[in-house]
Amino acid sequence: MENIGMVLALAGAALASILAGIGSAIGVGMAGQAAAGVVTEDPGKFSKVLILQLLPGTQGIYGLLIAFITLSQIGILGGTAEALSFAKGLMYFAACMPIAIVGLLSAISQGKAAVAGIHMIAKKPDQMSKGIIFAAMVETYAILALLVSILSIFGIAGLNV
Amino acid sequence: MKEYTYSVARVRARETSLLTRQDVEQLLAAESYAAALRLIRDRGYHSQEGEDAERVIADARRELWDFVSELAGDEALRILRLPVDYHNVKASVKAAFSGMDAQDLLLDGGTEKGEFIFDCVRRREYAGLDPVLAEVCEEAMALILRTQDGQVCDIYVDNAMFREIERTARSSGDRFIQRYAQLLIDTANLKAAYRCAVTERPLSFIENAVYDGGTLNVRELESAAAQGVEALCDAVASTSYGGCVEAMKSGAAALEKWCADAVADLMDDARWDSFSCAPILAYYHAKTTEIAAVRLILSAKRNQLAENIIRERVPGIYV
Repeated sequence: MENIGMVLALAGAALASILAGIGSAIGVGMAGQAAAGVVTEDPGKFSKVLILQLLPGTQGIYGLLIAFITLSQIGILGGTAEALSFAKGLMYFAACMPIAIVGLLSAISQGKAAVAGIHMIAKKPDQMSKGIIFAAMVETYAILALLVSILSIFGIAGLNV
Repeated sequence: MKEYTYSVARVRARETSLLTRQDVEQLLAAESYAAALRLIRDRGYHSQEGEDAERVIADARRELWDFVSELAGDEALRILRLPVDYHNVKASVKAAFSGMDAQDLLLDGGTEKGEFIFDCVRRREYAGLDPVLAEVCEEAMALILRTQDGQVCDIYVDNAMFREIERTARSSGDRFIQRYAQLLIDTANLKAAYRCAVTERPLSFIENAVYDGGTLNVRELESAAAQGVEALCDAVASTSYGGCVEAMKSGAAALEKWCADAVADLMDDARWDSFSCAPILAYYHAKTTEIAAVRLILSAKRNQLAENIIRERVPGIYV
């Protein structure tokens, strides 16, 4: 059980990439279905709907970033891993949770907003920028969660627990 | 429940090709039948088989069915197909009873081909037909032979249709389909009760004419209709359909329009939905109304009717 701290930190990193990745996959998939529907009827709108389809994909990237930083901080990436205390491992786990949970839910919500935006482009292509803005609003909360996770992970490194 | 993200996106893209009020105005103002036909061809109405209005309209209907069949789920599609099936049953039974051909009366878009229904009814051989539809055909044929009354047959077939619509809506689990089915039944009941009240039918007849379903209190509606239009208006005033009382007082055409508007209002709600089948049903409804308007205008132009006479009869459109 002396590696429990390391296990917890790894689990946090894994969940950050898994949950945020799942959210992005659902969101991008949903928007992709709507985009395919519009392109079936009007192939000329491909580039316009593509931008909206990509928006829910960012949460997966944020999850990956947090996983990388965590793995690097605990030495798994650099090959300098040392035993972590239970408290420190649990802290890394908690630090990964904001982007894991917010990433999952915000990507799904952003996918729905992107679908509505794609439908808007289908009817009014000149309103594309507004559709992008509506979907991008959801991004704010994913960025806030990313910020909290990054600040926490870098803060934990300096703690002597 | 089935997701309609792809389908709704296709519908949204198609909605841009629906005729606008401006297009209809242009069509109404067309100098001649040929000019109206040219205008409508520019807006996507054309036929491979020639430039005749009926062919163009038939092709538009076929194309609409192909599109909706591709996108809508089984239950949503069935709700749209059932009225076509039961119309074909009524037409087939009456044509077979009078020894006529039903070809010109049959509609496309049912769960069964209209010609097949007619053939089964004519031969009194229902093998191969959907069991529910087969039973309705058999019973309707027996009823018309026994009573020699087409209206009694129509009431029986309509009630069978509403039963099937209710069952399909219930099994779909989709709130919009259920609301749509309820509205179809309620408005049909209001119209039936009104017709019975105007023609002073006895309660025993009204009980058959009004379908025992929907959200209205059917018993109350029936006994009010038996007492006359005034009593019916009083009974309806306190329900969620209170808005139709004024229309009832104005006459059958006004009530018909009020009911059509009520369905159109429900379809308007679908504008904000991105994930359910509601926009597909709304598109079907909008396109059907548009095709009816185009057909009416072309037919009026061919018969050189005055613009104001046509304008009164053109239904409202979605866009």
